[in-house]
Amino acid sequence: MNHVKILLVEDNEGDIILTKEALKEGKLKNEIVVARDGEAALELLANTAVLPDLILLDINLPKLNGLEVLAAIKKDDRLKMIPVIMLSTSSAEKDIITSYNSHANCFITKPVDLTSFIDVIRSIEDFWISIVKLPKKKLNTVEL
Amino acid sequence: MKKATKITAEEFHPVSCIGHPDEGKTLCVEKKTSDHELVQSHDQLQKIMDQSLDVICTINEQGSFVKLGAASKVTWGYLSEELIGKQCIDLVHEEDREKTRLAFLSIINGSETNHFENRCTKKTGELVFITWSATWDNDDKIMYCVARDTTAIKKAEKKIREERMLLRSLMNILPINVYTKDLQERKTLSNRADYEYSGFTSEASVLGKSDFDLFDKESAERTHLEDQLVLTKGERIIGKEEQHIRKDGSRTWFFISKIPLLNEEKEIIGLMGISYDITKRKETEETIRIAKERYDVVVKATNEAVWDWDILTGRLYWGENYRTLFGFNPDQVISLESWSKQVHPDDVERVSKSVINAVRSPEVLQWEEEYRFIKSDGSVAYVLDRGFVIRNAGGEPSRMIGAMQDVTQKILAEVAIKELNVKLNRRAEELAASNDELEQFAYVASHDLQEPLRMISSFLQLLQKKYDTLLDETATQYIGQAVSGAERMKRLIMDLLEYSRVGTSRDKRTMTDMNAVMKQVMQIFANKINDTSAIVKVPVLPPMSVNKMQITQLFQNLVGNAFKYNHADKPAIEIGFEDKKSVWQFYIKDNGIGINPKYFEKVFIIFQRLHTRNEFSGTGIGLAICKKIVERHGGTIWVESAEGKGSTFYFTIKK
Repeated sequence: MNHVKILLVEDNEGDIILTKEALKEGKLKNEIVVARDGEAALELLANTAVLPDLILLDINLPKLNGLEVLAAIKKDDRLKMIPVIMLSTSSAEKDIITSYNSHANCFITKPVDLTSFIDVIRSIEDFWISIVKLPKKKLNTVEL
Repeated sequence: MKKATKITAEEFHPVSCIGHPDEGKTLCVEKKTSDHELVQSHDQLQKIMDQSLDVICTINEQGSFVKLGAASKVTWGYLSEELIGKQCIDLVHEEDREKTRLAFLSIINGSETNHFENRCTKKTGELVFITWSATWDNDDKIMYCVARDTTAIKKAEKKIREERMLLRSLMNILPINVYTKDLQERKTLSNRADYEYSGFTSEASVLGKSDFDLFDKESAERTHLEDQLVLTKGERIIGKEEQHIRKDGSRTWFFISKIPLLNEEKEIIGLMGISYDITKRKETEETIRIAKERYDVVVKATNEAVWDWDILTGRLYWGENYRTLFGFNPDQVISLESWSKQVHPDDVERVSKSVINAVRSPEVLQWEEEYRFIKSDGSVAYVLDRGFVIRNAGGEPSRMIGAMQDVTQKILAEVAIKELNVKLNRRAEELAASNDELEQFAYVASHDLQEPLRMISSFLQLLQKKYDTLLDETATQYIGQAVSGAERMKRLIMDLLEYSRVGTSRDKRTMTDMNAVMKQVMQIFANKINDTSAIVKVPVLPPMSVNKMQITQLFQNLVGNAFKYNHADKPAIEIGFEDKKSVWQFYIKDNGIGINPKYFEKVFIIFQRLHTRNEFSGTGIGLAICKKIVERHGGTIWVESAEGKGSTFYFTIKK
């Protein structure tokens, strides 16, 4: 597994840059796809030939928010196996609880410190891609 | 009777003087001097005899009439001529003849009588009562007699006797004590009620006795005083009520009257009294008095204007509170109209209809209305009026009794409460809104405000990381300052958020095991205690009604400060408490750096710091949160300290 596809759902340009920077330094070769709002994310997931290996999902998003996107993903048989990491500035209890109730795989509050942030992003990638055993990715017949 | 005899004797004397055995003879001897004079004297005698209303007659030894006065015609119905020579005894009623003969013989034998009674039969056959006085002249062998018709007197006497009997019987069946007393206050008459009351079965047993002999001393003395007033001053005591005590101690209420008894000379010879037993009436009066008193007290105590409407006469009576509550004179006789006139114009139709309906519906016994009533001063009172309809056996209403209560204050209070409730609801809504706003703010603070901060610090760091070689030391330092500023800003926001969360509606107080709280707090500082070999004294605490999370935080902050502002080699921290009736008072004493008294107030102000960040880290939120938590528990927090001498923080929690 040398090509990893990560979907980043994030409206904040700064966070997009920072996340990309963090992943750049990762061990794995990765392709980052960015959706800037909830609707765009679901549209992208519906239309893509290759499903992402990991979804990094912000909560505060235009149009559909992160929690709504999460709910939609976890209800979709095709998508529900994809690990979804909630990445939020919020540490509000209700966001955490709602996320896990909607079957988020993980909830992470974005560290303020850049180094920590980079560490966290790398750890996520490392953990979910290299360590966690997941079912084989279903291939999109159209694209293959 | 005596009187009658007297008169007979008086009238008899002049006659007997003429014909007296001694004097009469002398007179006769003297008068014999002349025949003429004798005839004259005889005529005169005959005239006197004829003039007498009593029959003056003479009877010879054989019992035959010799001479008779004209009165024989009236008395016996015979002319004197008819009777002369006739046997006197023939006139006498058969039953009385024997005793008459005996009396006749006794007189002949020398005994004089001026009072002998027998019955004679008149010519008409009627019976007449005759009283005789007679003297026998042995020389003349003749009996001088005066016969008086006493039939009328006898009849009168009989009538008197009968009347007396009637009076007696009447007196004895009277349920009133009737008695007379002499000047020595001794009973001279006592009717059945009187002697039976005195404890005897006959009048004779009571007569001659005084009240001292018959009754209790106290009563007898009072009676004596009264009797003396009557007997010596001639006063009349009429209709006096007094309680009388018998020898056995039983008490009787009497209605008494006493008047003096006078003889013909108007001299007081005794007194007559009547006493009427009114014990039952007194008891009834007392019962009524007590009931009335109770009623009056209740009427006063109820603070309601009691009314009594006589439906038959239409009159309305009011209790005293009609004046007190509404300013009207209850003594005035008031008609129903005078009441309805005072009912507020907007209510009068409804209330009047309701009263009429209550009275007219036989099944209705109770009536109640609330309405406005115009007081005498023109002000309007809200009243609650309740009444009962009293009906006769036929269901016809006769009276309605009730009470009117001034409920103005209650109504006003209800209105005020309603207004207050509206305000309260509005306030609650505002509060809920403000809580929502606060929550919104909290969310914004935790998320939206952090976002730009994170960007600032992250990109500064990224700048440093990527362009490290291009930046000099000063640039690196500036970046460091900017990053640390952003870090502090984040901390401040988080603290502010925490502070604002204390005291939202979510914090409920529950019975909490305080020892568990202390244990939890101690666990937080376990490492610290270990590292510094600190001595921490914790008391055993009773369960308290607190917000567990907040109280834990309170202790955590205070114990944390005790460690934080402490340079001692061996920090010593003591937690204590005291039961102060309405509150629990705690203290947390340390051997730390202490606080200058001028900052005692300031330390509790949010973000107020006493030290530079180089000395002690923190935003200055800890004690402000403590203060807010304590206040949320109805208590106060204060500090006692001196610089370098350690601090003692006190706080109270309302039970």
